[in-house]
Amino acid sequence: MSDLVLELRNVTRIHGKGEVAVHALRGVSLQVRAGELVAVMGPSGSGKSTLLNLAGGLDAPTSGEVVVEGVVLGRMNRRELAAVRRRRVGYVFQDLNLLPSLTAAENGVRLRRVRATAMAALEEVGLAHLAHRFPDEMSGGQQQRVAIARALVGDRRLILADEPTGALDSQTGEAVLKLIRARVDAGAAGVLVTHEARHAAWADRVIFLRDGCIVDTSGPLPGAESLLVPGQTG
Amino acid sequence: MVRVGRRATAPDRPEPTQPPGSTPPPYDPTAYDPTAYDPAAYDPAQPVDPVLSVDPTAQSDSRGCAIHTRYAYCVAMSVRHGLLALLERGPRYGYQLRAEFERTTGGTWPLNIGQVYTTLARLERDGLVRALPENDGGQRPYEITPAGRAELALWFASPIERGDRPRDELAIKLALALTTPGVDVRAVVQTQRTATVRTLQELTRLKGRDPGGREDMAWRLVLESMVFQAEAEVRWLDHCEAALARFAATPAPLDGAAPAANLAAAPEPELAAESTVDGPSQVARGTR
Repeated sequence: MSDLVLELRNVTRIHGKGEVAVHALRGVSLQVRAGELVAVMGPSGSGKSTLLNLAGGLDAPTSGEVVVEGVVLGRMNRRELAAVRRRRVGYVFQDLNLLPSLTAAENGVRLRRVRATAMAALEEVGLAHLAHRFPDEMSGGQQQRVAIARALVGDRRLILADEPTGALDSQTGEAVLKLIRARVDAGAAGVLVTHEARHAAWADRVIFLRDGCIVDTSGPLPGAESLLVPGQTG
Repeated sequence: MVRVGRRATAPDRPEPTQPPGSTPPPYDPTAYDPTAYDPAAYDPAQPVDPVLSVDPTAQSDSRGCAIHTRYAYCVAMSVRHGLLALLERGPRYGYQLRAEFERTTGGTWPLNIGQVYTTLARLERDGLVRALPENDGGQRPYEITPAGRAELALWFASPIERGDRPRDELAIKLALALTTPGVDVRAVVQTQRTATVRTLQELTRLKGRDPGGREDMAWRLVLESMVFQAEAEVRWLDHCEAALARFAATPAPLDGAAPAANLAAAPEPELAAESTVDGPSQVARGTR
């Protein structure tokens, strides 16, 4: 059995049409295996968030395929897609997306019968004791940990994080990354979008996006390749 | 009383290459000769520069941490005062000093024993340490003198001035890349950023464990200093890339220079069309 959890096959995403068309991604291919955390870096508008939205089935590619655990998302109907998003993919966003009228445990999961799963996830992030608090009764760091607990609820094999450390201070941000790292080490696959190199450094692989293309990864350096082109010097 | 704000005396520092009173020659980008450097001429068997105090052949330490050359100069002064600080704990001989220095810095700054003895000899010459009689094992311990103690106190009390740090080779390299025809600046930026992020990844892996004792904490703080410096470098490289992209998008100035010429991997075709030299296709290393 393949341990490939996420695969992007030559994915292109164009927003708009004609003269106003924006090429958010241009033929991007990417594989993320179980136990692997991949960080995506790049300037604003380079396609980082588009890549994450496509990986999580929140957006559909203009061409190419997105495969999550062997299933091509483009071949699913809306109901099947929703099920994948709900059961297999965990999202951590910068703006938390906690529901203010629900407690931490309820935010974790809104079905009574799986409340125990939510409590387990809160325990994993060290917040079981705050299970009955509402978001506005918790600090930013605690809220973010609840958001991560939500992403980790159940047996989710793909964790997608978009600037998860947001405005958190460096210590709290690091704690959040350690949680994601731990879940990935336990067998999930993770994609972390960030513009902070210090956070990207928690990943096994860092890919750089520019203008919708992957321009480099932090794999081994190529050979002693000259940056100077013969005949152009002097 | 210790005067804060002025750094400690540094007899080990290299003499400036410019004679006093002379003015440096004007900057001439055309004087740059990329062929002048001959890697074959580098001989690792040559003695290590005691001023730089870092073994250039030591690419990694026992924990697998890549050593960044920009830290070399910091070590130069740290070795001198680091040895004084260790001797403040009590008399020690060379190998003990080396082991303790490396433990404190977590092995991120490996020393060779020759550097330790060279530094000890200079410290003794300057009256900051004193050699004791050899012990039964034939090792000669050193102890700190009152003058050494004063020097150490002055070092702790003085900030390290930015001007005392080495000129940043990377900044110079980018400046030269931008002004040397035929260099793909974006590739230079990207290559450096990838390498620096890789260093960051290694440092992050190293600091994964939680600190135990005081020495662990010391080592962790050293690591985090390297993390923050590497992060700053990546942010600066991001800034350079954005600034160069904006610069390439502006019309060529009247002096005939071609802003886009060195920015070979220009994202949009219309940028390439602005290039007044032979065109980006000939200088582009392209995307990997």
